[in-house]
Amino acid sequence: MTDDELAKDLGLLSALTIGIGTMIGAGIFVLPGLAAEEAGPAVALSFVLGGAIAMLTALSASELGTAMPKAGGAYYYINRALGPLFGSVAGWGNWLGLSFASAFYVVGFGSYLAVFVTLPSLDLVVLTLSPAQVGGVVAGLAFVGINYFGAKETGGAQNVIVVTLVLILTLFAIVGFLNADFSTLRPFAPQETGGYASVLPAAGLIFVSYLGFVQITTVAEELKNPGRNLPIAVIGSVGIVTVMYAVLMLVLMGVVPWYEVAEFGETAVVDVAEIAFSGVFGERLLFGLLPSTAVGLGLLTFAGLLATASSANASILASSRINFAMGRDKIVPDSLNEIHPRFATPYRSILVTGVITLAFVVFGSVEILSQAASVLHLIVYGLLNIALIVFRETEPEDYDPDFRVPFYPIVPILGAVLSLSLIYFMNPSDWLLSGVLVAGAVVWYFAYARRNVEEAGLLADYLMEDSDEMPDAAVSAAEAVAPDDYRVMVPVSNPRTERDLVRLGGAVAKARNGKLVAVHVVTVPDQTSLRRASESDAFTGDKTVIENARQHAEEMGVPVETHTVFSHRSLEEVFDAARTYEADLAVMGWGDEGRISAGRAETVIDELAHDLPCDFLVYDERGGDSSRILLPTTGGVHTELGAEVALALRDAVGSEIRLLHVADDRDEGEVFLKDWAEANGLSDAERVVRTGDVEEVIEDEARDASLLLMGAVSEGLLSRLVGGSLVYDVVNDVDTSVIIAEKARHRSLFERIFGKG
Amino acid sequence: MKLTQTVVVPVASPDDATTTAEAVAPYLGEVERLVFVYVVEKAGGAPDKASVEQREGYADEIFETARETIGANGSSTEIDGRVVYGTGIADAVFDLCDKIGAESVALVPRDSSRLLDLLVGGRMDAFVRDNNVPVVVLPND
Repeated sequence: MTDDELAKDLGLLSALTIGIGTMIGAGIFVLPGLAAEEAGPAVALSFVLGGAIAMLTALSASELGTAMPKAGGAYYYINRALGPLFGSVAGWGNWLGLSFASAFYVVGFGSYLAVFVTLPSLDLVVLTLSPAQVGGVVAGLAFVGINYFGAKETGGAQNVIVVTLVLILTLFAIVGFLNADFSTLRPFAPQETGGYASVLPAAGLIFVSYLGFVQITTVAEELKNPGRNLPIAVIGSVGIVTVMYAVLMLVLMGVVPWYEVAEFGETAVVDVAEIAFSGVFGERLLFGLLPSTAVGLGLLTFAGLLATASSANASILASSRINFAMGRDKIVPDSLNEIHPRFATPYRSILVTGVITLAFVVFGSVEILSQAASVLHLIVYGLLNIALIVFRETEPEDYDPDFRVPFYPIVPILGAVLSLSLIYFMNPSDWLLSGVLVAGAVVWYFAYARRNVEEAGLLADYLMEDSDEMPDAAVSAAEAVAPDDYRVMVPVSNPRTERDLVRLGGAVAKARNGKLVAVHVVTVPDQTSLRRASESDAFTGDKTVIENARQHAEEMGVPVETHTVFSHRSLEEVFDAARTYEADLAVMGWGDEGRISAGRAETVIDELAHDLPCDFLVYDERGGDSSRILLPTTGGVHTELGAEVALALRDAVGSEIRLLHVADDRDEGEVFLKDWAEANGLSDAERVVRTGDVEEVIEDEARDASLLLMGAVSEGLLSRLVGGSLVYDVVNDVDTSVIIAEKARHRSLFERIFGKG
Repeated sequence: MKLTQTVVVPVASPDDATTTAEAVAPYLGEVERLVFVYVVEKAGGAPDKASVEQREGYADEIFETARETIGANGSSTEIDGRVVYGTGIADAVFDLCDKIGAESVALVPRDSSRLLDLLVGGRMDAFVRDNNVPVVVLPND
């Protein structure tokens, strides 16, 4: 087996049991009493409705999961699509939602524990803990302990637990069905609960029963063949669970009338099982060995313990994955995700989740906990559906899902609308909670996360890229919430030129209050796999180049981050890296032997040339300093970038700047250059206007200069230069160092769709 | 029998990497190739205790520490780092030995207690019980 196969060891059954095991805990083992009270037998419809809403989101989650099988699931997709502001909302919502859900499950566990053993109630002066809460605290501590110490759970155990559960519930359904008197289901929607109007509010109440299918996506990176198994598991588990809930609800209320189910409370299934088993088997079963009621009670209590335990355990584990993904995107401090040196568990994340969960157990009731868990998840599900639409509309290059949502865009739009509108049918206190969460997450983003995060999200990229066509309000909103640093990427590989490149990049970064991103591109022979290279590089890669880059940048007082990438093709990799690290500007040298050699497949370079990922500066350092800059201009965006660089160098090293304009008519030229200088903040620079042959004049003026700074004269010039396919006479004829600037051209939506350009 | 051409050295945490690298350093000249290995323990069908991606990042940190500790002191020993996956730590390490043809495993026992061994499983045991190559236990001081 390959390493990759070993790393991905969750098969279809495991994935299904994660989904079913997480979901099955609540609806049938904790909620039936409350649900019956809310809507009578019609609550079966509420379960079908809840399942349908969950299914819409399950379809979206499946597509996103197959496109990006990464740790973190829903949070990750939302953050990538909608950016870190919504990422904060989704991350916190999902995390706290899972904590509420875990608290709800452990209290449910406590209720079942109380059937077997007598638990005390605790009087803590300010509040009293019910026996179920005491059991919940004990269970909560146990599950946190299991995840903290990483006690070894084998795949087999989980599958056995869930399969056992399903078998017990099936047996219960059959026994109940045999014993049911379906006349008790009439009236189906009793007047006392408000008739059919109560189906919707009840759907809000029981929605907690469907939290869990998205948990499968949080461990998507561990799934075997995620393209196939993930959709089957996500969609299948929602389908199976919906059917089980609806059937079991009808059976429960067929055995005893709904108002009695309501009176039984949380452990209603156990009471009903006692009645059903004795009704079907008589007083004793198994040849008179066992009392039927005890068997019913024992089986269902056992099932209740298994179900709530597996739900709680899965939720605590999933929340540590979400923490990890949030830390990876710098929305929470990465120290939260530190791995325990002995247990290899994310122990801090587990502890924090544990403390939050236990606090909820102590202060919440079953109803409050389930509603809070539902409302927070519904926000996440709403955003998840919107994220899917953003992915489909912006079509990022790497978005290639194996499963695609049918009836797009109807399904995700319905999914988003229904998820969010279900919140309307909950209690005002839940609206308040959602408001507090959203406000809290927004405050968190602006107070903490915005300084740290780097990715703006596809939606913001899209809005800002096509800013001419988008409504101003949308663009400025996107700019206002985007991470605010200007990022200058410097690919470093050659120790000889690295220092100058870093200085140039650093000067621009400093002028823009931005950050320097030093990327070490290691070219690897084609026959070596990149993964292998990255593994061995921890030891053999040349770390000094990147360390030097870091030092230079720090000396200049510019914030710096460093990355190493491995590639078979270096120029393309520089382009890729510029995209990956969200560079606004890249600074590279040319003429580094071998690094970007002439005679490369020009078709590739030509293609690249039309689509620069960011602005570029190409620096040919010939020993000159940058004390006297010559900046020829005829206008244009590329020269404007040159002007910005000149200003940055003047700030950094006090360069003198001389502007040169070669005109046909001297007077017109003077006017043009004066205006141009003012527009570009260079009105105090020396201005020279001359007539004659452009190249000769530049050559002549360059004699007094130490650095020639030019804007590219046409698009794609730069790549051809770097590729060695274009001889640019001026550059070869002057003795000064040369910098050529090229602005990235932002293609409009139209051009991208119709491939012009 | 040569024991020291390729030696596999399991490391479990940055601290462990420091201790282990210090213990290995004196023998560097006698070894041709030193392969630090970090095992991502799989649950074998249940979700892992931490994200695989997170564990791989952790492994990089560990290798970096090992490399820094051992120092680039001009020795000709080739130093490598490998991440492997398996449900058992010792098994995964010995599988790697098979795969890359390592002659021995060198390790430093970690402080432990009976209680912890009971809770999370004693690891030394498996290393000396089911080994397919000689295991060198380095002194830990």
